[in-house]
Amino acid sequence: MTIQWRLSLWYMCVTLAILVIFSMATYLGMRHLLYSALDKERDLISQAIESSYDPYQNVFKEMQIDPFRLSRNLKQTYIVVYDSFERPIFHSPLAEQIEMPIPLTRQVIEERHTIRMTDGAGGQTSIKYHSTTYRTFSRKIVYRNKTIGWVNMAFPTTEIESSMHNLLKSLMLGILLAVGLIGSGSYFLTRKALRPVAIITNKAREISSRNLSERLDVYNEHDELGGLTVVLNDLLQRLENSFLAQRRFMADAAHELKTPLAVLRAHWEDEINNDGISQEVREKLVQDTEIISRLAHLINNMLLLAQTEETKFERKRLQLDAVVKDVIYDVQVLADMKSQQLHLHVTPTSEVTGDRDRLYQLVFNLVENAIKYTPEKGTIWVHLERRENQTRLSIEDDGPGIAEEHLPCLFERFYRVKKDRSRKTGGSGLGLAICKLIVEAHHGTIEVTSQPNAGTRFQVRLPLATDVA
Amino acid sequence: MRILIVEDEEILASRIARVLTQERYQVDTAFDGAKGARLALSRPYDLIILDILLPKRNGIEVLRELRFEGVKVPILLLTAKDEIEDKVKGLDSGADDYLTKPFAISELLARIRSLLRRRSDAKSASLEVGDLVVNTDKCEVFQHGKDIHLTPKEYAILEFLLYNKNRVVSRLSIAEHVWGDTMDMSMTNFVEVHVKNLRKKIDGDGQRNVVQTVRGLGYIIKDAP
Repeated sequence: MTIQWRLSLWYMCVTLAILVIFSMATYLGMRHLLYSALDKERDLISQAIESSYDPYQNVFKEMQIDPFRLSRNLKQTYIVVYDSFERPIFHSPLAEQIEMPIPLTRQVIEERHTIRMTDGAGGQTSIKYHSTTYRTFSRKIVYRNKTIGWVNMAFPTTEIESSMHNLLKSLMLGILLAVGLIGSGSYFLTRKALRPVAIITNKAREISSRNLSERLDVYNEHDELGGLTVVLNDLLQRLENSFLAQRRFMADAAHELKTPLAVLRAHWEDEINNDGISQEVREKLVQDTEIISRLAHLINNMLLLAQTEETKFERKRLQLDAVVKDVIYDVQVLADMKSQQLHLHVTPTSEVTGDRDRLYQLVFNLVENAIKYTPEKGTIWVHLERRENQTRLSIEDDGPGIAEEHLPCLFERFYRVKKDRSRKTGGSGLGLAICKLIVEAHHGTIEVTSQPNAGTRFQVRLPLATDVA
Repeated sequence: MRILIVEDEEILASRIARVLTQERYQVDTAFDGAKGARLALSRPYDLIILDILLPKRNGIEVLRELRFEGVKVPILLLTAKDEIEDKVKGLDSGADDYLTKPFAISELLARIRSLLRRRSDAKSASLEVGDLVVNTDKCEVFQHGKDIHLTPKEYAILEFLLYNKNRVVSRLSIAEHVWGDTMDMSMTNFVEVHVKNLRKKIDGDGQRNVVQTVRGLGYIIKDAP
């Protein structure tokens, strides 16, 4: 998971938790508030009933029980007043229609100057009646230590509960909305915050050994990312320094090796023309000069591989088919020596931009390899064709092929498929590595496919020369 | 003909000097840039062989000073670095040719003769052996006044052997000369084929043997007896 997603998720979780706590508090507080209002109403009604009591006649003056003016919605309130003999003496309109089994309380919890009242057993309880929930109270009315009656009350809580339900719904909806908004908001914010990181990453990815001298842009070196960029640039600088040092070392080493080789070679070639030495010694000297030349060749190739700068390559427009024909003309001899058939199919005008000598070297290496590793009387096909904006060169043989496990390493330096045939067939093991280098310097690709006992095929694709370049 | 060699590797310098003396050139040697420049300015030379990496003053500096002072002698640069910039820098500073170490003596001699010839009149730009005349300006070959058509590689081999007249030239040196930077070790095989084709054209049905094979060594063109 990316940092961007993780951060957004964390934001969402934290806001969700905060909102849930907040909503719970709101919900509970609201509920408490509404029920307190209900209790207040209950107190007012019971007070009204108490004050209608006439102690001289020991009766409730019925018509003085006028709680209707006290309550907003008394029609829905269930009130029954009992006398001291537990006989109901007053019913509210609702109580005339239904009867609720509210037990009379025996407990006194409150004493006023005239009347003591108690709540129903266990305080308030609730009764479900005809799918309506009522909150019930039972109060004992006591006057001068004598029980004079009871008041039973029940209030429907449907309204409160539905309000609470609505509140809960809107709170949940609000939470969902808020979390969604905060989630997407934080996604965009983190994206904005992390954008410079993405830029730095892309840029750093583009920097390879070919363009080590490039640096990342520093927008503000005082912020966190600016600091990171400066550190990365520092790292690149050190990398480039060591890279350059290595290259300089290679060049110097090659130079130091070449001068003594030049001395040796001049020495021996001079002696070859000295009449005073035997034919045998002379032949040895010629062989030695060949070894010196081979060494020089190897040094040159290593130098070529060590300095992957494109500046080493010329960039001129040239006809690739002319180069290929040149190579074929030259290597025909080698094919003839092994009685091999060398077929060439060229579709005309494949113009590319590049270094003629290097491209010659590329084609030569590939064709010479094919000749070298194809047995006598084998066949080699060289195709050069133009496809859209590419030139495709393929060199195919019907030789023994290359085992699959070797194919990925074929273009590595000093890699040999068979260790034993190394010297006999000659070559330094750098040929294909150089081919790859040359192809890549010309912005092309090289690939190899092979089937054991059927043949090998190398395919090179090079971009055609453009008029812009 | 007087040649100056400026090369800090003393063994190499004396080896070149020896070969050139054998070839009847008069030779002076200098082992550092400062002495080389002093000699080049004080004596008339026909050719200067100049190494690039030299103690005291490097070859490019010496080259620029000589050209600045109006010395028009052909200068052949020797370099161990085969970087294009080095070659371009050398040629831009007024060098006439360059040679990358380690070079073949035969290549050096061919370059020296070619440079000396280029400087002299076009009329003398021809090499002769027996009844064969080679015009190095136009790359044409005549036998008894008759034009002989050679492929570019056959011509290059013939010219190279003529520049090295009376010296044995190895197949390797010929391959290096003909293919230059694109030379591959396996190309020594090509030399035989080209020489065979060349002989067919210039030997005239086996009446002559212009290019002689020296077994195990290479080829030689000798002055007709």
